[in-house]
Amino acid sequence: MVGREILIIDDEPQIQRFLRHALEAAGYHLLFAECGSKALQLAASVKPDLIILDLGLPDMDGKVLLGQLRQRLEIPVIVLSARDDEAEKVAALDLGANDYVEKPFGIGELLARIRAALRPRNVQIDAQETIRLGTLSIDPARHQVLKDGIEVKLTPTEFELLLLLGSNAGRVLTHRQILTKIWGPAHTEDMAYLRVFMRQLRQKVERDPARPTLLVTETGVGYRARNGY
Amino acid sequence: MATLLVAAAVLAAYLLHPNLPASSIPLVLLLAVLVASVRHGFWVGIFASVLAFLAGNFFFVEPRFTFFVHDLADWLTLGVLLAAGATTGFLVGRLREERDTATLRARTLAALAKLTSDLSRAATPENVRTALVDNLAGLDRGQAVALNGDGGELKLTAKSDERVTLDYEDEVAAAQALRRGTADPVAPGWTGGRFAFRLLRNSATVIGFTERQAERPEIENTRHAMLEQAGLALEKLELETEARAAEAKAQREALRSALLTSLSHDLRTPLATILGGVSSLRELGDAMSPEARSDTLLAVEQEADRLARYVANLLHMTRLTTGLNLRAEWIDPSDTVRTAVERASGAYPDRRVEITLPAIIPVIHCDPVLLEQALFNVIDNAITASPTSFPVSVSLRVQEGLVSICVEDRGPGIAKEEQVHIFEPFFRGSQSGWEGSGLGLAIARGIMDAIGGTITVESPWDGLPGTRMTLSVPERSEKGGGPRDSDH
Repeated sequence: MVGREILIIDDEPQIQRFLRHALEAAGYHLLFAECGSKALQLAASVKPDLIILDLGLPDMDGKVLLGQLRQRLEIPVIVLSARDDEAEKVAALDLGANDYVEKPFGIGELLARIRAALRPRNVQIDAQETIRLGTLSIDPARHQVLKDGIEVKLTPTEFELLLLLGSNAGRVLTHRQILTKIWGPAHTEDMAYLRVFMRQLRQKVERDPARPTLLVTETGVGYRARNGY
Repeated sequence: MATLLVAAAVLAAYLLHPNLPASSIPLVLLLAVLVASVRHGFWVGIFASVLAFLAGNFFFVEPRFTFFVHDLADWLTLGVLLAAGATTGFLVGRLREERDTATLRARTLAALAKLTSDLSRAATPENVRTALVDNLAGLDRGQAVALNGDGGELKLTAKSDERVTLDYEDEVAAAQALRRGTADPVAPGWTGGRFAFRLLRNSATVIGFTERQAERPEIENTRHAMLEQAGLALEKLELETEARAAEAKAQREALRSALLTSLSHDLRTPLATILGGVSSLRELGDAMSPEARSDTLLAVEQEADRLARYVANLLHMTRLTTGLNLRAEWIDPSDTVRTAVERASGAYPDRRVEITLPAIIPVIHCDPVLLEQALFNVIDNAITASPTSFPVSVSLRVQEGLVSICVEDRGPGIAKEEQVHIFEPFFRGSQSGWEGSGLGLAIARGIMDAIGGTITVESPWDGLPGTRMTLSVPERSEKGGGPRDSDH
């Protein structure tokens, strides 16, 4: 992880200042852009490993910039968004952002998101490697899930759901993304299905389904599999 | 009619006169005169008596078949007939007039009483105008209209009958009434138009009504009284509106001053800790023990969190007053409970919050972010209002199409007289240990109103001190069919 380059697109000098100290202390190299045009230029020339984008930029709409970045480059993007603006978060995620952090945020939260985003992307559900999620181990090849070493019986849909979230551990997936991947593009509005399957899945895999620690709800946005932070 | 009566009497007398003494013939004629005047009044009585005299003289008095009068006794007969007809007619007329007057008075009183009762129920100027127009028209079975001249242009706002229309002349007259107070169709130099118009006192409402010819003064007086009453009713409504506006303004002022107090207290307190803590670390950090440094830093972090929550609350409050953007979707209410409790546990790491969930939970259609915010605020309130040794419990209940989330604490509770105020912005309970901004519950209430739910408070609950707040939203889970599990 050490030595990875992060481009920070934010116009607030104080935020830049605090991020520089904290992230450099955590071992990252930093680049800064205060405006959209400079950000596009830097992203194209330097090709950083990760981009942190504040959606509230002075010269252009952060979502437009995100769209342009996504068109040209396959670089993971973490979005900084205002609290309580779920619509904007969902829009950014559906535009291809990998994750979001609400302002104001603590550095621990940001570091966790950065680590998750920098891990190699493996969104393919048919990946063959066994995935570990807390006390769970998910074996995609054998369609088998072990909880504390004991096999858990899952329906095919439940298994796919768990595998999708597990293989993206640490990252948020929007409802739309999950519905599209599991049920197909025609079912992006079938939220009730997702709610019911999620509840069934939690009943089977969580230690205490009343307080899920593996599969976490991001209210108004989607779900996130949490992997030990 | 009188002529017929007299003719019948003459005929009867003529047929009978061979068998009667001559002196009884005037009595038969007198009977006809009396009947005529009783039935038809004074002038008909006079007419009948003259006719009876002439007929009697013509048919029965010698020389017969002439009008020649030669006897003093015949003149006396005429005099008696005239006097009888006139007196009876006069008396009967008086009686009838009194009866008519009494009937009319009763009718006008009833009309006034009905208007008064209609006006007492009128909640808007529109109600007043409609009531007045209906009762005016009912007074003498005519027509009535109301026009409103607010803003300079007269608009027809009420009419006694759907078919009523105003002619051009009527509109001109109404406009004149708006300027001068009255306009009558019979005024000199005035042609056309069926309605008389009156301006109601201190208003821009013009009332038009039809008048009958030879109108009784009682009707006119009653109409005047009705117009006065309606004018007063309009004035009263206007005063009430002004009073309400003044009250709303006072409330806004109170809210603003409460906001300023809250801002100065709730922003300054955490800022003081943050500034003080950070500057001590910068200047004295080397001299501090590692524990002291770490504790100061923790205080700074916690206060910054508090500041962030406060600002978020202010934003919520603003959004509630300017209108929320609802984004309802299918949600699992137990998710809402869990995420809200998790947030609360994050904000108060040393407090215990227990969750109770039923076995069967419906999926509901609701805005998840707002519901979670409302619930978080209520939990936050329960935590700050109860001592640290008691856990706060959050339970989900489903009954009768309602999904209810109960937040219970065993704190000191809320006094009955304060319970009505706790959902008002910036209200702080008198119980010690309350340290919130006074915004959380107001926001929770605002959100529940916006998403079609309710929030209620019970204190004490189950007979013991403490507070139970219940957030309820309709289930509506049947809508769109339940999701089915195709795997089974």
